Amino acid sequence: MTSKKANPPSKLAEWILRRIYPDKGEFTSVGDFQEEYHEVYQSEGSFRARLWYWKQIIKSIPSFIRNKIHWSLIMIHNYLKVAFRNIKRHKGYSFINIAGLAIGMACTILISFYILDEVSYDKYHEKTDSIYRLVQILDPGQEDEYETIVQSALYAPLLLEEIPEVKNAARIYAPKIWGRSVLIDYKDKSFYTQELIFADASLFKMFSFPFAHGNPETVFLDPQSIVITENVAEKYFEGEDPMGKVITYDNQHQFKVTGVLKNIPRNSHFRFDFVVPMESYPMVMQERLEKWTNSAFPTYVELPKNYDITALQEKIPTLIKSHRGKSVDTEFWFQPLTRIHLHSHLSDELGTNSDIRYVYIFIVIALFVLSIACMNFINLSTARATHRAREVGIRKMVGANRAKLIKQFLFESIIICLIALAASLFLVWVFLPSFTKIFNVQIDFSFINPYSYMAILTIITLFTGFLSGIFPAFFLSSFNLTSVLKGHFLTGKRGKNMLRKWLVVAQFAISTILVICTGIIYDQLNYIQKSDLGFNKESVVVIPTRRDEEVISKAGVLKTTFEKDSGVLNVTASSQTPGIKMFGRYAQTEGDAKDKWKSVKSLWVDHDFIKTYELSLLAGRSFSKEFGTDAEKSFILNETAVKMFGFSSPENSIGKRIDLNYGRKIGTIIGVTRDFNFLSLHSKIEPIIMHINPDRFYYISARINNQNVQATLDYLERKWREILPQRPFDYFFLERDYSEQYHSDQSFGTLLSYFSFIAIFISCLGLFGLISYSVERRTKEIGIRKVLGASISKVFYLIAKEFMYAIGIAAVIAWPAAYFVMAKWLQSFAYRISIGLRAFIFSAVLALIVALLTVSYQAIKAATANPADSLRYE
Amino acid sequence: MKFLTRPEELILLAVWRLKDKAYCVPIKKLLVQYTGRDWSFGAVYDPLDRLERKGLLESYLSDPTAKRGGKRKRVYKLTPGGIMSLIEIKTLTDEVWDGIPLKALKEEL
Repeated sequence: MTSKKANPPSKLAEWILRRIYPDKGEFTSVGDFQEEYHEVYQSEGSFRARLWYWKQIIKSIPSFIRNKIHWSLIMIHNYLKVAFRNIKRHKGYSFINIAGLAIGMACTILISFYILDEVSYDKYHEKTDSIYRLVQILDPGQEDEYETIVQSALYAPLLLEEIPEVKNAARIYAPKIWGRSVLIDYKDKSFYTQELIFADASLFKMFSFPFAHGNPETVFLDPQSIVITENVAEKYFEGEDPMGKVITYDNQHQFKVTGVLKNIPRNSHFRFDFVVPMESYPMVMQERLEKWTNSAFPTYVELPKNYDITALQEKIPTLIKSHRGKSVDTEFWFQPLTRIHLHSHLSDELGTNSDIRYVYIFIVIALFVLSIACMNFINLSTARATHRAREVGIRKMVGANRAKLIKQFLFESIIICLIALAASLFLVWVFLPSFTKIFNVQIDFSFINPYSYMAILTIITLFTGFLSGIFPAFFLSSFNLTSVLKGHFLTGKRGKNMLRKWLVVAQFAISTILVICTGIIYDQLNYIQKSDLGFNKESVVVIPTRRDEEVISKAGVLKTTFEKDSGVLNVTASSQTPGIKMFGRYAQTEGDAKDKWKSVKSLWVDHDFIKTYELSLLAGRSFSKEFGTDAEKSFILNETAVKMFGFSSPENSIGKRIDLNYGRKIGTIIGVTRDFNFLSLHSKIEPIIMHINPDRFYYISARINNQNVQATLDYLERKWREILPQRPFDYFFLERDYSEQYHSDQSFGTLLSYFSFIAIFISCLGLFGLISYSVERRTKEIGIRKVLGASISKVFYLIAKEFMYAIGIAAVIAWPAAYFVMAKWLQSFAYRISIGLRAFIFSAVLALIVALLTVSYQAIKAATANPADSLRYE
Repeated sequence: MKFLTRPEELILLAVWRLKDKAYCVPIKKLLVQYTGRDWSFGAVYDPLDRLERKGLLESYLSDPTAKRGGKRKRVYKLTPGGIMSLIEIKTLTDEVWDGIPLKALKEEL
């Protein structure tokens, strides 16, 4: 057979073949294919041969892939070996890198656990995405606009009836919202609880609260039934079977236990221990269920998934109007269940919700700390590039391309991150309990999907590895082969040195911002502690009467009995104590022709309130038993109220008459007190009008002697039990309750102080690494300088100066940023410090000192070294 | 001894038989002839690479020829380890098959 000249096979096919099997750049495969292609071409012709070529490639692909994986595994093995060798050889630097990354990652992991816990709220309900809460906006667009979650009891049935998309609707009535407790008795066990709700039976259809005993469909068939949680079952029944037992509500109503719920998970925006059917609500407060105006019921509806709620929202006012026959200035909107915990801060919430802003603050801080650690890595690996330059040269020489080298260095940084991950998991394990305690957050791993935290760990590791590895990878792989191997490699090009300095600036700027914020927060908290509130909050024991009529009726007796003890200085009863919101009322000076009703806060007190709380009178007198009219017809105002009513001075207001609550109470002003901060310094002092009304004695406050506090408390309890044997005694210290108002500010302060410490620590670790390296590199230079007569201080200055500049620049950058953030934070206080220079200067000095200490060890070592040692070999 | 996969074993044998002509194309042809089914190039390269890494084969490059589009051949040769391996395989196979006539197996079908 004569040999025909074969057409070359398809260029594309050959190109593919070259890509998938290069055989170390020899492309023997192309030759092999070509050879056989020739034969097929000779025997079967051009078309068939081409087809054959393609078929061979496609058939070979699986084997080629296997081959490829095989070889890349071998490369990875080599990368691993080199990576570990490097880690081992430079123990100090590896330690700095890994420690910094581990701390940064531990912070991030802890914070991400917290965030996962926060976002898990209410997600365990099967219908979580289709449940909405109805919110009404009263007087929308006006100054006193008011958004609340409580609704008229008539809305839920109306929605259910008129809007076909509403599949279920449930109303709740929670005495807790109104600060009320109920008394639950079973045999000899008697406890107050705030955790009782009334609810429609549909509650169990919409929400997936798991039942331990009882059938959710039938538990509420009888209005006289009650569903309790396992907690309560244990507390009241202690191992007895609670089902079918009868418990007493407020000494009046009997309810039979028909179901036991598993404890309501903590990640629920509302929790409860008892549920009573709404049908038995009339027994407690009949008239409320039938009123359009009585908003007291949080209302939840179930809508189809992905339902357009805006259209529905607009329909509601007209719907209500058509049934009520009267238009109302109210708007409505539906709040998705899943958004309540982090986004809802409306009036009358069923519990304290968290705040998405905290989540954001946590995220920002985590990123700060993690990026500081990454900067360490970048700085140290680029600074020490010379150590790797030879290796890069050799690798390039034996055929590694740039992409391969980048891959290698990224791989290396990910390896280091994996080691750091292991260390950080250990840190997390150690610090998890203190983290939850210090920041008062709760983390429950059962709420967190295991896949999501595996994913989080992987993402954190890869992200950190990538972030810290990508720049060094590009930098290290950029070395020129010939210059590296000839030894011309320049130690630190100017540009790279600048980058390192800027990264140090960034690290210290972040740390300084955190320090300044911490300083200002502590200044403000200190100011709060020290500021004169206008009353004395120390050593006051408060005993709530829980709006229990029986207890309120005994308030007078309790008071006189308590006063007898030598440890008790004064006792008073009042509707609120400092830190608890007062009720708003409208008042005007009597005889004002025009309606000039002004909103005031009404505080019901007894004769001794001013004495007990040590309020100071600016004019007039306190309430006194000698004046019989005081109990009925006298008012005491605070300064703000005097100004609001338009009296020229406190003295001038004495004797003037005030009409409170549209003629319900008309009386004379007998005294004016100096302003006092009834609520926290976040809010402005409001106009307060104090008057006597024994029906409103919700709290009894006793100022006690600081000695023998326990004996005094025992006395109070004993007397309470004598007077009210049926009622449990409980109390709190005013000071503690009052400072609760600053709880979130305090935790913000603590959060920042810890993280700023960590930030500084990691920054200093990195700085230490950089300085050690720079000293190591300049040993000879320093030796020569010393030989030529440089003093120890000059050498010290030489080493320290470059980083000192960086820290100076960092401070200048940090100041305006911190000022901006803190000015914003302080705005949330009606009474606040002005931002002084102190925190700024303090932070800069602190950063300088810490950095100087970090630097000085290496600098002094270098400066005092004997030049003979460093120059010996030259 | 390290066990080899069947394709590895066959390829090792093929290399031994082909002596100094043992590069991919004839190896593949021989395998097709032995087994009666088509072998893809990939299915030959992959075990060859692996045997070489295991130290049972070694390879050198021949001069390029026009017929091969100017590409070299990678010619394989058994190392002493490779020969040892073949000896072990042969011994093992003979031992386990000892006294089992093909006829007896066919009768059981």
